[in-house]
Amino acid sequence: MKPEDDLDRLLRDTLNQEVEQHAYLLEGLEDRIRSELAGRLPRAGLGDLFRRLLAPTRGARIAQLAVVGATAVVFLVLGVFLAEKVLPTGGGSLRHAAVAAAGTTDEDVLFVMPAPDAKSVAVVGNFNNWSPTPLSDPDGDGIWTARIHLSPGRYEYAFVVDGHWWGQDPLADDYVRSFGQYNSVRYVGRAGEGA
Amino acid sequence: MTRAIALVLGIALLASMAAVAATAPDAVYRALSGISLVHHDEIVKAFEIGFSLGRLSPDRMLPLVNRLAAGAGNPQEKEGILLVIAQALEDDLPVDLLVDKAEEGLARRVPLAVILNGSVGQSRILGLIQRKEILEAVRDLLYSKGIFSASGKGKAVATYLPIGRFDRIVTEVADVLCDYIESGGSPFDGHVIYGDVQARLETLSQLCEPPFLPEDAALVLARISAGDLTSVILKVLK
Repeated sequence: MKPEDDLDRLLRDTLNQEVEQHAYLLEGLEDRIRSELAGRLPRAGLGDLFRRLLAPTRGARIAQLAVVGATAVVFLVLGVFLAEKVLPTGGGSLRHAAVAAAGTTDEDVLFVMPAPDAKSVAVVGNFNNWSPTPLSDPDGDGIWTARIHLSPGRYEYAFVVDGHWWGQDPLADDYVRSFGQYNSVRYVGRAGEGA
Repeated sequence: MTRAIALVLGIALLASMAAVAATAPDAVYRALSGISLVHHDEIVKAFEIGFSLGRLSPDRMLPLVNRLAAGAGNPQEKEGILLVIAQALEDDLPVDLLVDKAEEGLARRVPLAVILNGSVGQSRILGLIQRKEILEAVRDLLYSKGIFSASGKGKAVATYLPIGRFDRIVTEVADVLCDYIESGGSPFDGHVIYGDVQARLETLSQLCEPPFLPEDAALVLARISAGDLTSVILKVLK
């Protein structure tokens, strides 16, 4: 017998021994693989949920769908309403919305302009995008007033009296020049101060 | 079945809220179509950056665009106003000051050329171009003093301020310098300028709900000097 044949026989015997020793591991292997694969199978997903929901089975299912649809429409309208009223569209608005919700630091700031002969008085500033907010003089004494809800901060503004800008409010904290004219400045939210 | 209902309702609520919140920038872009713009795409692209960083809000920008669209004036100058704001956004600068001054100028019926370029007459008027230069010079001054902005939501580390706080300081310091120049102050009175900056920052940081934190004000005031502020003004006025 050649030495190569001895080596082959030795290898076969060793392999057989190994297989016999670990044969117990193969018992029930098929079942174990099946159960493992079953565990990895995707569960009933969103698609199944909708398929089951939409399956044309009974009339009751149609009624249920109608209820869900109607409620969804109600929530849709509610969502639009909430988004318009609550959601901010900018960083500054977010802070203002948060402050307004807290209701602790915003102030109703009083703007007063004596203008006895004026037909209209308004205030414009960086709190209203420089669009006029009208002042009123209900008792006709020539003192025009408006209260505007503002968050703490620094605001530049001017009065517009019958179309003419007036930027030197005696009640202002400061004055600055802007486009060759004056703007009044009001700080809102100083500790211990109110409007 | 209950889960299905909850799912449908949740999706409907989220979709509707997201849809409404997302319409605001579109309103600005639609309004832009009312102005004859040569650089429309560049402006829209810059505005998108501004909206995404929170430097520009649609409800802040829409009134300005509508005013520009509705008002009379040279279309090139209208576009110039939008381009300065767009370039500031691309240059990583805050734009609140520019938007506000543009709106004020339009409300005052100031000629578009003056809003854009300013004028040197009996009293100096700063245009958006000069204001942008001041914003840039102040931002660079803070950088040179080791005060930086950190974008994203990461917490501030050392002198890396969150972008909102950094922008606010740049805006306020630049605004003080603009006010000083328009009031006819001399750029060589550095201590007066510094005093104005100090008064503004300290007053704002003492408000009930401070626009920026006292420590930010203290940091800036400790690192900049009267000479620095003089240099900024001279750089812009040269």
